[in-house]
Amino acid sequence: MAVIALLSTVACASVSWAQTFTATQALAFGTFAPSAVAGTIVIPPVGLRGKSGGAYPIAVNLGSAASFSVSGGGANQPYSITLPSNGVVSLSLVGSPGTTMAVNGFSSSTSSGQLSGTGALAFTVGATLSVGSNQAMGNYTGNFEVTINLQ
Amino acid sequence: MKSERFSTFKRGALHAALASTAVLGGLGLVGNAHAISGDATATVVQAIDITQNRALNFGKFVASNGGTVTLTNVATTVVGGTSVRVSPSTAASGQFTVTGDGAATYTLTADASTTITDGNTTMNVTAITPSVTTGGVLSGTSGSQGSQVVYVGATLTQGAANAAGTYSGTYSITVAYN
Repeated sequence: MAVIALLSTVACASVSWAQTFTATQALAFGTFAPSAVAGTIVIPPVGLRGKSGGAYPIAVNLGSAASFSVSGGGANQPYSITLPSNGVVSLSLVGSPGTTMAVNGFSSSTSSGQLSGTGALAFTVGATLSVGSNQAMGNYTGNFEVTINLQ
Repeated sequence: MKSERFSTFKRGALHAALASTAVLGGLGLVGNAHAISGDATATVVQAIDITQNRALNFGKFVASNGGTVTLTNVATTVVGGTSVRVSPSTAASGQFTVTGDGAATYTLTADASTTITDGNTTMNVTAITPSVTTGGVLSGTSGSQGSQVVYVGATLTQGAANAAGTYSGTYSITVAYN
């Protein structure tokens, strides 16, 4: 009976290691206006939206960093996070996919460490969006790949 | 008693099955990578712009040793000051339309002063005062064009050196989203 009890503990703990990696919130650059001068919209992993050059954030939609969560990992399991390289990700104008804006400079609230004692992790990801001179109006969408490496 | 034994057996069998799954799963945990695709979004709205509909116009007044003409920054301009004005007056506040994303707020800045000239002498235009400075709000809702009409008032000072004639000049006005 003692052996069976031990197996039961391992079994339950192990089954709960079925890891889930979830994107809980999109990376949103929010609403902004272009101008004749190119610029950028910056969403940091933590903190407020920034800008440079001729891109003008509008308060109607402030944007937000992307959120990801990991659960079901091992207690204190080491991890590292891999983000997209520059030149890989762009957003496309809905209805006119040839019109794009590049997304570079991905950064995350943590790049490596250990999962919590319950095998969980939550982190955020930001990036920099390049807004062209007189960038066409409309909604832009895209996606990017984030990899968590559990060691 | 019978049913209790049966139950214990079932639980034991289940645990054994889970344990074997755990071993396979546990091996898979070593050095594995999980990729996920996150969405990214952005909304580009129209740039803010400002267009002059009506020039700031101090109208007609008589040459004299000195005087002022004042214009209020409202649609139906109120003309004041000490200069002797000539009717019918063409005096009017400056009028502009700001266009941009509906409901957006913006800030308007204007030169505080400028000069107008007939090519020989100048008159000072001071207290250039737009009806909107900070906290301008465009009509409508975000995603469609909004607008707001803005008026500009100012004060003109004439002097003894200013002969009869037509005087003109420019001033700069700038809008930016907040």
